[in-house]
Amino acid sequence: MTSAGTDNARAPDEATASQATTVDHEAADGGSPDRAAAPLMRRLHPLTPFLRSWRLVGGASAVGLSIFRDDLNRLLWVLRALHGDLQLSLVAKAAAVTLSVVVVIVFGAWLSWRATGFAIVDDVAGPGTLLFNRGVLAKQRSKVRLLRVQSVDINRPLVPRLLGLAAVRLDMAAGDEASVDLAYLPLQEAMNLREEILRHMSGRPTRQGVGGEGADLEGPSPTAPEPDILVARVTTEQVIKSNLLDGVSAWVVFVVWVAALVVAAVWMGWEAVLAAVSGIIPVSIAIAAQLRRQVVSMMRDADFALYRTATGVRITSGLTSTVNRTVDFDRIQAVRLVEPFLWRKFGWARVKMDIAGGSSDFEAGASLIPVASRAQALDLVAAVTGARLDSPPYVAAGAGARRVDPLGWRFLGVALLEAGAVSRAGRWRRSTAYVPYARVQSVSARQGPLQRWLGLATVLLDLPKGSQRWVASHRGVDDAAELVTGLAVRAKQHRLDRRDPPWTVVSEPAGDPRKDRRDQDGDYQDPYQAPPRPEDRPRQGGEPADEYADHAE
Amino acid sequence: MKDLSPDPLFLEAGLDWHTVSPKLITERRIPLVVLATVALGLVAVGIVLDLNGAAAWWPFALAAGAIAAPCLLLWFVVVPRTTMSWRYAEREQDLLVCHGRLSRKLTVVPYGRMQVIQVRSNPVAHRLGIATVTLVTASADTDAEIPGLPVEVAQALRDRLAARGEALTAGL
Repeated sequence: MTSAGTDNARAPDEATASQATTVDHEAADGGSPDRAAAPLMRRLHPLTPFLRSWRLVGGASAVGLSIFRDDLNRLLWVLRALHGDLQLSLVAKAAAVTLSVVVVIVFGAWLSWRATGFAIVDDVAGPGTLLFNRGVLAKQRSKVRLLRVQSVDINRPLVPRLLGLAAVRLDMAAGDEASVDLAYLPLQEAMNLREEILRHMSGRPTRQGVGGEGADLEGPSPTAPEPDILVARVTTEQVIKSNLLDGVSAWVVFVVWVAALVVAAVWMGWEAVLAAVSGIIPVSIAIAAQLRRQVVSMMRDADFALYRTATGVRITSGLTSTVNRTVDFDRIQAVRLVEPFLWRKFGWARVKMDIAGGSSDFEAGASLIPVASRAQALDLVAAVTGARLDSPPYVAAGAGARRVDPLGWRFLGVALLEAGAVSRAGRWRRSTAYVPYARVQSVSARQGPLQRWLGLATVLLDLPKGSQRWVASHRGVDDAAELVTGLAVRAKQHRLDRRDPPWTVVSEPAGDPRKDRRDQDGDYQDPYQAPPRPEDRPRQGGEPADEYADHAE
Repeated sequence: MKDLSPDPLFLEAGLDWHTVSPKLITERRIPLVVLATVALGLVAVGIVLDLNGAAAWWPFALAAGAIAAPCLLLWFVVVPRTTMSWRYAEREQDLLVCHGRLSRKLTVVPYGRMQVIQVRSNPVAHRLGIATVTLVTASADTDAEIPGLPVEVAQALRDRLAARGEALTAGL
């Protein structure tokens, strides 16, 4: 996005501004004079086809190499060429083949680049619709309502990052197939595009307001986005240390395994070890996979920073490939506080969040913070959800659970808070899951034969794709029945409760309130010490007001 | 066998629990017919081979028996019991679906969360005049499927659910 585009977006009339931005970009782009018809499409970076299909290009070259292997086998021809006794026809042949392959690849890339374009338009589907066309032979045309976007990421894998490029990814609730990957754009353009998408995505009433003066009065206005406030930063060192501590068992296993192999080799000779190789390889692979998972999570969470935006949080992290993810509060489906055994000795905790349709690179949930002191983590959960998880009034699963879960039964607990349900589990690795009632899709109960015999049942809350199920294991049957009823009733109340004007309150209890509220509010008290009042619960009941306008007959 | 004992969790008393059509048992028995045919075929092959003196008949009979015995168990006990365990009840705000004998499952789906209501029928079920109603929410974990409803009941249920869903719709 050029500076002209940004200026244009700041024009007082919002509706015309977003259209103007689109057109303006096309003009700035200047690369497609033949596309006069509206909507004009913006282009991705010309290197995109190569970066997206580097595997394809690599594969093509491999195939080419294998086809001409016989010729290449005569690599001696280089030597012979140096000696001057090479048949020229071979050189010409090789050159022609290389040249034609290059031409075909470049032409294909150009076709693909030309067929790919996107635009943000206002149309019948609603304001803020993203059109995304791609595909040379099989053409794909996506139309995405930006109001429905769950999170916006800027991803920078290693190679594009070195080239100064970035991908904008829009996560949709329907999951990976529906998500849009605008890859790749120059970084600055990607950032500007994200801002533009965020403005459409939040769909705040202030934006739909009549003009600039109204927007200035009502909270954060799109015309002058307030800067994101840094809430927490976790250095790479801290992430690595804490992850090593968390996964210490895997490392111990790894060291013991290697030591055992070496000892066996020394003691019984390499032949014996080689003879047992069929048994050794699977175990080694399993251990390596475990370690790899840890290293990947370290790399992903390294250099972590959490910012508070006007309507949600923004996360930047990553060592080789960086992610820059923006999530609105009301898109967070569940929050989990995870405390591995060794971390509890240091009073550390990790907070994970689930986003509907979250991309497959974080099935286990995205880190809201990879490691923090317990108090800090609890404050963060409170800021994001409005619920304090310090010591909720847990109802234990009871002694009946002992026979099924002899180690962990004491730690099974459920608490129904004002606006969400808490479930705790885990003898060693303690996990406390919080789900706002308003996010519950359906309530389930399950009972296996053993549980039936013991008079137990498990209660679950079903959440959108990409979120982990909320599980209350091994409750007594009567307790479980009560829980199912209680959860269903609460879920209903919070689902129907849409009188909250979400966007007027949303900026208050977010992020680190001590930092940004103290100066404005002389009498500011930590709101999280008090039980959350109903009106402090915008995120649970909170959906953008106009998202429901359609159903409000 | 037909009526399940009332249960505070899975079959809450005081609700109008509907059962599914017994024709569902027939539908679920069809795969068993295939297996039984295989068993009979084995016996036939064994007899033919025995008459030709090529092989003894009894290994074939054993194999057939190994297939037939579980088939009989499934046919007379497991399939009727599990299929007839489906129950559903419509409440003001949500639909309750419960099934399973050995391990039980209950799903409470609020009408406001339904995104899609499917009525499906495979060729066998179609001939038997029954259909499956499936409720889809934004969650892949929601397991709300009611098989074996007579077609007109399924359609009426679908229309009722759709009407209620429209009145109560919520997004994510």
